[in-house]
Amino acid sequence: MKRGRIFLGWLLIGVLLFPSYGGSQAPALTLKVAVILASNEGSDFDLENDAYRDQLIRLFSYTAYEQVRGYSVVLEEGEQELIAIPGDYELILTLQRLEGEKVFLHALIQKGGNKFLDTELSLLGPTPVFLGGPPLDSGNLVLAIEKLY
Amino acid sequence: MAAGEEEKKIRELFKTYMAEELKHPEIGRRKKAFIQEHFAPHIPFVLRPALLVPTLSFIFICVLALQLMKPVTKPIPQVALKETVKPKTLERTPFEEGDLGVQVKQVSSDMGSTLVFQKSSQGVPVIVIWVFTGGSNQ
Amino acid sequence: MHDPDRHLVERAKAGDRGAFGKLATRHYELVYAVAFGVLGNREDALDVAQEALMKAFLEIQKFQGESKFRTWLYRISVNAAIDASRRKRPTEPIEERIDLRAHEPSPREEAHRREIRGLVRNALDLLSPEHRTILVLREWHELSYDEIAETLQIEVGTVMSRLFYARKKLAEALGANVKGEVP
Repeated sequence: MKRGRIFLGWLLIGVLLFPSYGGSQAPALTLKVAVILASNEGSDFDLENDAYRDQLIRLFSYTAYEQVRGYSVVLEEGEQELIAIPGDYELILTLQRLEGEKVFLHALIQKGGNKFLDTELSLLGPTPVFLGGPPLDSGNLVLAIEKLY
Repeated sequence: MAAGEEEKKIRELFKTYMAEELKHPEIGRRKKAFIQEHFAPHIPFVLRPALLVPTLSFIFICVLALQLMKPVTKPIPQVALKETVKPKTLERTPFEEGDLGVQVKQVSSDMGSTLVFQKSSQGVPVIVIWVFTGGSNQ
Repeated sequence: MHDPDRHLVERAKAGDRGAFGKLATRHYELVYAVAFGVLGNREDALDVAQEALMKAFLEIQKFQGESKFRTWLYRISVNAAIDASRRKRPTEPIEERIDLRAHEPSPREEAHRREIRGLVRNALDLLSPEHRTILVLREWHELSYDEIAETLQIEVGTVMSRLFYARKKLAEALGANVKGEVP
């Protein structure tokens, strides 16, 4: 009896210490998406992420950059997330699969059912990829998508 | 007020402020005194204005007289045309599998032509996927 | 890279004091404007301008032509001005000595000019010397972002974000005068 109780006690401790899994957990990923309005009106330079600043200057010849939206998107394999962005555009991100550190992503920018940009890409390191640029009256949108660790 | 207008106004105010200051006569006085005190060139006696001016005037009159006596026959020299500057073009670097943090497998658009390019930013290759629509501002 | 000062610099390096004098004559206002933009005080700015030009003269052998002479001189001026700003006395009101030979502005014109000077001066006092430096190089000297980055040896992105910040702070401080609400 005493041994039985000791055994049950250790079993209980074991159960509490080691959570059980109902099934296998799907790997998940966090992506950072920054929506930036690039224009030639004035010379505002208003970004939350300083690292984008130098990259944008080297990549484009606009005079003003303003971050208008910022999102943190958590996706599991096979999952999709829709993000509404200015100008009635939508960004749809689908995490196709994860292979270790490598991320296979499908990104679709559309408006009114029309495909503005449809791309499949893989991200390995922390370097952002810049997609663009949906035109607005005041400039073009630049979307910076980055894998977060 | 639009951002561009505000920026323009700030610039105007700042320029007015600086221009007013730089017009101040004290600056001209101090500049002259400073340069005179520290950087006035040493002039040999024979080249001092008191002696030099009459000498030069005499030489000038002689040269003028000679020129008036001689007809002008020298042809006008041709100046070589300068090379036109070639416009800078954005390099499109082809990228290879396994080289980069980002690999693009496919790109398409219903609204314009697409371009994928890579540029190095602080030693790190950055990928841009861009759609050119007809009325793009870029 | 074409440097219009190259010949004078070569002569100055060979010991021709007069050549440096010509360089100083050419660039005095440029150096003074940097100093005044950062310091906001005439006496301090005059001292710093002279200090910067003397330093340039004494260190002319160190200039190897890796940039334009003007850029190198800007750098010396900025460093001298920022060093001075860290040890300077608080900003004094701008005193005016009346020059009777100059055109006498009307009282209204003079009052308006004083008002602008006062407003801008007060607004600039809210900025750090580094931000004032960027403002004077961009808005007064009209240097490009690349030239400013080269002068200050910082990234172009840093130039742009400091400029944006400086303009934003000025706009806040100058308030109604920028928004056009004041006639």
